[in-house]
Amino acid sequence: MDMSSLAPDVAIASTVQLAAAGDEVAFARIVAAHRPEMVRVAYVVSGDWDLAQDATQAALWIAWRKLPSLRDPTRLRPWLMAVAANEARAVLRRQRRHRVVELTFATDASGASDPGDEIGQVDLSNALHRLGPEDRALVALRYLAELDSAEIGSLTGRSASGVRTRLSRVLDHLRKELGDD
Amino acid sequence: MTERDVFESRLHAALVRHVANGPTDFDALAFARTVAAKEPRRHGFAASLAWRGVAVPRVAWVLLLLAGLLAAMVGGALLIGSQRERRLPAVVPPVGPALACPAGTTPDQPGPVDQARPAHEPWTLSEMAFDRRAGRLVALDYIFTGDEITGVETWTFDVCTNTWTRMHPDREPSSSGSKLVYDVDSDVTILVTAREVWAYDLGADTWTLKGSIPPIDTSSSTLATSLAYDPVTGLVVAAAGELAAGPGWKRSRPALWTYDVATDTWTPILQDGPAPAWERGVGVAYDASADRLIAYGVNQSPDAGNEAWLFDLRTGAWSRAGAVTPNIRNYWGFNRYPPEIVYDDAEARTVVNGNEGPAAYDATADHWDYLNGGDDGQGSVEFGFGLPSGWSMDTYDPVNGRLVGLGGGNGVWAFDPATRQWTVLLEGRDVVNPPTDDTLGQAVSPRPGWAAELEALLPSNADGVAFTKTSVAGRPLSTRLGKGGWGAMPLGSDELNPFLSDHGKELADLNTAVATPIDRSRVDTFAIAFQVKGVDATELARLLADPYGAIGRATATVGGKEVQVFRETRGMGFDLYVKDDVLFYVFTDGTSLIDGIVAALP
Repeated sequence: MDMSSLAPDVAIASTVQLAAAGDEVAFARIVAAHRPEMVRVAYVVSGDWDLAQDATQAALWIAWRKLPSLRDPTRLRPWLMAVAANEARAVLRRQRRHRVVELTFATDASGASDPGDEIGQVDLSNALHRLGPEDRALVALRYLAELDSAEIGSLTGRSASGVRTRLSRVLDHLRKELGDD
Repeated sequence: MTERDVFESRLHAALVRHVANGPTDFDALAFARTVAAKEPRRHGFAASLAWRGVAVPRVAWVLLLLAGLLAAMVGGALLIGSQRERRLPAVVPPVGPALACPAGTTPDQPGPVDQARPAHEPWTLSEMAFDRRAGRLVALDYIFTGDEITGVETWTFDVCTNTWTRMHPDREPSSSGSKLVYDVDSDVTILVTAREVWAYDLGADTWTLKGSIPPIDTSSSTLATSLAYDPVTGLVVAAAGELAAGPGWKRSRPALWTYDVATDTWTPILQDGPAPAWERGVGVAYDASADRLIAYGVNQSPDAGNEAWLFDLRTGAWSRAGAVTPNIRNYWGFNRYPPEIVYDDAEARTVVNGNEGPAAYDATADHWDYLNGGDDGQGSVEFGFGLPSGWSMDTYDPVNGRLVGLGGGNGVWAFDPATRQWTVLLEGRDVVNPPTDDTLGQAVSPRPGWAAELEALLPSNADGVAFTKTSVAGRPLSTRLGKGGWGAMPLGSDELNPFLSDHGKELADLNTAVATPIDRSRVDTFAIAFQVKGVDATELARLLADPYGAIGRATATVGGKEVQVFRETRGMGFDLYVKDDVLFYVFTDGTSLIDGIVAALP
């Protein structure tokens, strides 16, 4: 057995076990390691940094509660990403009911368009905005968190083929929106 | 992982750039400690006595805090001596007429439950405003199809007869994200949306498009507005947040404007001296007792407290309230935004509200009073028993001197800050009727296009909420619900997956469980309430597809329906299961079942 590849998993498992047992320092390590990426995933879903942070806080709260039931500690990262994406969707719904008046101005600090074949940020923002929250969550989990379809499926209650099918449709949509077809 | 095509690689690169400038400041250890303190782990036998285990340290903490408070008071008295408390000049400018209810009306009796009412869930309504000349609430109901607004309806609510009236103006505003305020001087209700300003004349039943929103500096990326009415100038005051430069959490300083509906002009209010800045934003109300604008600013970084400031509209000067500002929290225990804030004419106090109940600020005495419970010792509004489910403090009713808001099931509730009593103005409906004994409840009729989800009353902190089988029938939950807030949980979501896939479940006898009376000694331990809001057939099929595999389960008959039951045995939690057309969920305290509900699915 290749112990060098096993060691990180053992460390993760140990940290998760400690956190599950109530070790707040171990939980802090998990938070520090994964929160930034969770916020980014939540941002792709929500389109708002404040909401993304709210969603991530909620997701970490859930993580604290549910860590004892996490069967495979090495799957911690994909699990956290999926919970963050899901909480971002939930926060979006709550946001509507809390009736925030948000006047948003699209400012693209990176310029009007990106050079070469890069996708422009304003175009990407608009294209994401036109997707539903669930599809944005799929995009975030697949193309930002880089989970594969099987992982996404197991975390969202879908089959891997179902995830691939949905992602394929979303990609087709994005290709058209971003002028790639 | 399959190989990506060129577009997928470009998409990945674009997403990485898209999220490159996110916030980075975060104290992971402080957060972890906060979470661990609020929800300590329970082990072994202690888990079965969780409610007792929590109670002891809470008592100790309360005693410790009381001791600290006493010491602080003694110390403060020694330092301050006989110095008089700060009192602002009591100015009571006219705030407009408020009608008295006609003889024969019964404002304390609920209106007819079968009356026409805004058809949609409360949170799709805009803010409400109170038309003081007409003596009626004005509200806009946004009609959603999925997530899209497909219509707007204008409604009014008579607080003397507790009846809704659908208004039929020739045209109605079309954009969402709105705030309403009643302009006494012009006798119109002003609506500020994300793009436009409208004025509603209730007497004539007409909406008039006035103009655009204030010319806000567009270098600010996100602005949020709050509206108040200044009876001295007869102008509407709008507060927005402008991004303030600086490290760490984004902060916004208030940008203040007046709006004159007669001339459709916005004028910036000059601010003199240092101004506050908040991480999240601000809600404002005009406080007639002090002739000040009360600004309740919300922060969001860990352990950052909210701040109340007073703004002198005549001089442009800000002053910070001396009293510790209560943190109005959401159900995760973090500061909630946006705040709901209104001025209570009768008590001459400004009231803020969150998911945790209202607190009132006496500007002349610089003192906060917790109206729906008590101070938890940390400057936060404690959830007392009696907050109706999903209640939002939408406006103040000067006719009857109470706060009015919408709650679950499209009901209307009023809270009298003087007596601290809740009054049902209109019973909610369209909610799950929980069963008694083994009677099946009635599920909500699903609305086409709605995502399947469960509405859940979740614990706001480790103390959880109180719950009984008969508490979620659209009635005020005055004696049954404690700490908690409403949240949504989609069926089949990742949130539920841990429960659907968890090991350690064992058989339970549902008949016995449902018939077991609630143990009142445990109601402060943990509970949760659902209402079914519509179930997607595909999700239902997935739930029915035996996610437990070979893990043991029991079949029981409840109300003539066969259901399959599992029981959580490790830590507190709940189970959800669906069989045939029955949805079942149940709560446990770790070793024994506390309560459950069975609802017939549509």
